[in-house]
Amino acid sequence: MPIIRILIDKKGRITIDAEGFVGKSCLIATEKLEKILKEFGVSLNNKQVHLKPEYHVKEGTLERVQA
Amino acid sequence: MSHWTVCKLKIKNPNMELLRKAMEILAQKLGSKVVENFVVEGYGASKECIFGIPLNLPFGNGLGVYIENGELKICMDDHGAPISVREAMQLLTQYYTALAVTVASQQLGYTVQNVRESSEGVLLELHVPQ
Repeated sequence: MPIIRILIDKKGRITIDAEGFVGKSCLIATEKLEKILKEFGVSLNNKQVHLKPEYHVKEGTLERVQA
Repeated sequence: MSHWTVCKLKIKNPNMELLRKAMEILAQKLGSKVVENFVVEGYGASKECIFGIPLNLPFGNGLGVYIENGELKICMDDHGAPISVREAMQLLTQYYTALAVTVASQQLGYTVQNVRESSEGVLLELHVPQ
């Protein structure tokens, strides 16, 4: 199952780590979360997005390799 | 596809219910309770706050939160206090954000599988249905 790990650190930073997603669903899932957080008054500034190597794997490739 | 994101947090126009809950967690940590419409008194000054945490301090009566131009602020005469204003703000930001993440996750149908406080901060693990 896809997992989002969130660390809210003492320096006032939030690290959102998404793993196990297929396709662009990781970005969609975290963006939905960020949108609701904004409604609660939590704004995320100086956003830095780092794509993991898996990000560049095309949808369906993993399933074919595993099969 | 997977990724990770790092952002700087800022709380503006907070949800009052979540703010109260975050204050309750902070109050529990400080061995006190949350009081509504609390007047924080310090050395030669006082400030009316939405929520407060009464504390027996050398120069004050506790810690309080208020909103100024939409921004969440904390006041306390922290001279000799068990926690500084800065530390209190850091903890409150962590607790408020963790609560907001939990509620947002529930709204999206994500399962909050694990929440824990470590030396690094507050960690949450969300399981997202496929």
